[in-house]
Amino acid sequence: MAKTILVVDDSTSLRLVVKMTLEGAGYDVIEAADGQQALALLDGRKIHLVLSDLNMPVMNGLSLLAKIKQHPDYRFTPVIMLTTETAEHLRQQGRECGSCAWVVKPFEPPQLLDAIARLILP
Amino acid sequence: MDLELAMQSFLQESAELLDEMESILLDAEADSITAEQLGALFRSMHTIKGSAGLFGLDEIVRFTHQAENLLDQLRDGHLQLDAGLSGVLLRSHDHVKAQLAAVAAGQVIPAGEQDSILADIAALLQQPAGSPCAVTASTSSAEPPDDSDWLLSLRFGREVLRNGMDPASFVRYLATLGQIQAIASCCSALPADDSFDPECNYLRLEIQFRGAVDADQLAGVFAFASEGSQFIISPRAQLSSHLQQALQAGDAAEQQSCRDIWQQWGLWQPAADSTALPAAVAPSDHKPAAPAADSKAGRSSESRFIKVEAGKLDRLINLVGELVIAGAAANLLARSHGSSPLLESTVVMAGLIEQIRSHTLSMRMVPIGETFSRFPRVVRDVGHELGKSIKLEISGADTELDKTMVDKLADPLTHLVRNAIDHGIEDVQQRRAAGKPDQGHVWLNAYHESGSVVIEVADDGGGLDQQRILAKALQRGIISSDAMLSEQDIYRLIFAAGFSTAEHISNLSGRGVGLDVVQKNIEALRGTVEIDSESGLGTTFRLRLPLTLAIIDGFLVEVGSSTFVIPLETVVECMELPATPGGAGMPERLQLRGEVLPLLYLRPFLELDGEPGRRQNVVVIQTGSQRVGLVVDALQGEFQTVIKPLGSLFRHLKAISGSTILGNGAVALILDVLALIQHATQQEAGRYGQEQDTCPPAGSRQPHNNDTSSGK
Amino acid sequence: MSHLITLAAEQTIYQAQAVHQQLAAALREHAQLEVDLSQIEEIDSAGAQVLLWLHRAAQQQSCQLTLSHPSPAVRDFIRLLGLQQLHSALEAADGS
Repeated sequence: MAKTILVVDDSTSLRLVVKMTLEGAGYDVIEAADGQQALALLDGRKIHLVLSDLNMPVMNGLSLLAKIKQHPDYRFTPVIMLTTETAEHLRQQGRECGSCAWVVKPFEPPQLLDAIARLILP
Repeated sequence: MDLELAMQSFLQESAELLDEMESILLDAEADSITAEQLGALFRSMHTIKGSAGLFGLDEIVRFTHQAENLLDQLRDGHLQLDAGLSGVLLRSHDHVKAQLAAVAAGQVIPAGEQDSILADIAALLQQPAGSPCAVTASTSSAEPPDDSDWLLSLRFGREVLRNGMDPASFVRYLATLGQIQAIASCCSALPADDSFDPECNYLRLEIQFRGAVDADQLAGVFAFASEGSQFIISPRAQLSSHLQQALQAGDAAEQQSCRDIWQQWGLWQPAADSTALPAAVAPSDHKPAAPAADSKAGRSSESRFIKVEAGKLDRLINLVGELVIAGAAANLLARSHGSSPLLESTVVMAGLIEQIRSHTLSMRMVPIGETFSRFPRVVRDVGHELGKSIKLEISGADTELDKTMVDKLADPLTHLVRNAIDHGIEDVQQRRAAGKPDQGHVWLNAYHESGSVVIEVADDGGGLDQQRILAKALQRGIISSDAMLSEQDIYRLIFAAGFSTAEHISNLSGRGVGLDVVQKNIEALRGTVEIDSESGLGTTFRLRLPLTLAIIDGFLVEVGSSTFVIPLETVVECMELPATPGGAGMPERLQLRGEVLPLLYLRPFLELDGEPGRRQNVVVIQTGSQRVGLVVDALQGEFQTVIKPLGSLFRHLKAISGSTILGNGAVALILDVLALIQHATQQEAGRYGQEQDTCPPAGSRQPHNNDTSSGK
Repeated sequence: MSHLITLAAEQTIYQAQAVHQQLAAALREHAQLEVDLSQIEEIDSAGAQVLLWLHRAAQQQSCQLTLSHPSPAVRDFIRLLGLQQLHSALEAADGS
């Protein structure tokens, strides 16, 4: 039974490549273009990990993180933030919203798979 | 997989982003640029870079990375969008477009004028052009290391499970890097009684591992879970130091259970003289001393410290501050004389002064653990006295703050902890009725946040009873019967002089000294107290204190002819104040990415003379979750600031926390961000109240009208 | 008569709180308790910790506990983390 990853990013091409990378490694992938769309997907299906961009229109990654941590059925789901922003104050904000892992873009597919594998293997 | 499809999507998306970038840049030349537009500009290069990285288009990544840096600086207000900058950005746009066109046509990416644009960007960023920086994270190291043996002691933090990070996942991943030769769980921390929380982690793992990895790689495996955890990872060759370090953590039962595991693995010999060793090791991270007897180890650790009178240290810090200023003056002089050997020697000296300064300052910083360490005893005694079983959990003991603060915190903290046990935690019958474990929990937690130290005292008791507080405050005449109070305001009433909510006044916290003393003590340190309370779940007192170090990284701003310093850690971003649509007036708030940002105009607030210039700037500052935009005339950038305390004449100024001397000899005042934010948010709440109109304004913020809200 | 509880397929942090409460109640009410682990398909550290807690709490409250028929998922997890206490508890059940 493959593990499911929710990929949240406003860039279609990035989502597409991430999806191919993850599916190639044996994960199932569902996608959302921003935090709001992602929340709509938290509807009872099993999601093993959320991979989210930080900088998105409508609802950004940190707000999404906070919502996930409050969601009764998903509050223990590990969250990886994809970001080019290493600024400490953002990480601190992240800590206030609920803990998550950080991966700094631009990443290469093997790096991304490595980071995910620490939290869930396919 | 269908890479071609993804590539098409990337090219199309990038083309759209580039179009948007171009139109913003062309628009913005005519008029001033908005924060949204700055965000969109940044995201254009940011997104192209992110996707290009996935396709292995290293040339594009390298270039867009620099352009992104430039836009980041622009977004943060460190740079202004003038004709020069706009030109460089348009050329960057053209270049990326050409690069993408080449990718689309399957041609080699042209160099074009890349080097000259990069040089221009570097000049704007004021960094050497030669450094392509970053983006190298993924380059694989030259040679994989040979197989080597490792010992891992992994004390995962209590919260890892709740954070979605299962220790088992890390172990599964570790197994993909090499071979786990032995693994054992130590679960001595797992309670057998009602205090067991199934969502907390109690596991500690001991592992012997062999693989072609280095120490960084191994540490990287667990990096995601590092918060609140303690990982000790050593090469097998450093067995003795590993065991010693690994034994410093945890209680006696945990240490014993680890020793048992290592003994089973043949790593530990329970020799008669070494069993007592770990307890005697001083809390330092150094290499093991030779196994020594108790007394000897104790003495040697003592001799590593020298007690110094605090006054001497203060004088030293003052002198170093003067030295920094004198050094800057000498440097100015040397420059004006144009003597390069002289200039060189002042630069060397400046470097040394900088080192002396940071070392001196660090001498005054001590971990708060010193203060925390008295609390297990306090909790046990108070709990015993009141017949309550209390568990104390301490975290963040290594958070450092100024020694003088540490000393002054002991009393208020003791008071809060006693209060939590006495009034916070219910008695056993009530706890059982509420379905809680018999044993009450009290937490002490410290951490750094936006230039402040935050200390939390939390309990899992009944929470504050708003009705009872109100009734009592009425009865005591602290408030009038028609007062409309927010939740926070009601909680704050317990800090009013002579207040006690418990029906029975115990001899512990009810002996005349109320929480008002705590409030006064904390305010004297220029700190604040926040209260979170959830009925039935508990209460958290959150003390927020300035670091009050003699030095900060400052951000200089200008209002009229005066210069002010804002602590850099509190600065989130800067932008130009957008022109008001009507043309005139001063907007009271700003829409910033969909959030309302209250504005505080420094000129009228500080009663400074002069007219504001045509262009004003907004510096967004933040403490905790509250943000405020300070409106100033100009931004001058970062400056390392030596804080000089204000004379007693100026102590009462709420908005100013100190002064400093700039390199040119001028004096600048340091703004007290906490006080400014409080003022602005109260002002905003007041306006909001007026706009709502239905809310009776009188008495609504009565209990603390007379404290922090006054500007000067 | 020993009271029998069969744990469901999923034993993760999402169920840990409820399972813990169920087992705690059973411990209070019964002097002999058998917990059947044969149906467990997925278990994580939180799930394993509940079993560890049960093992310890039973000893403390002198309840006679049998952990029986561990599924492959349970055995794998015990091996993965080196959970010696659970391992020996299961051995004891096998032997009897």
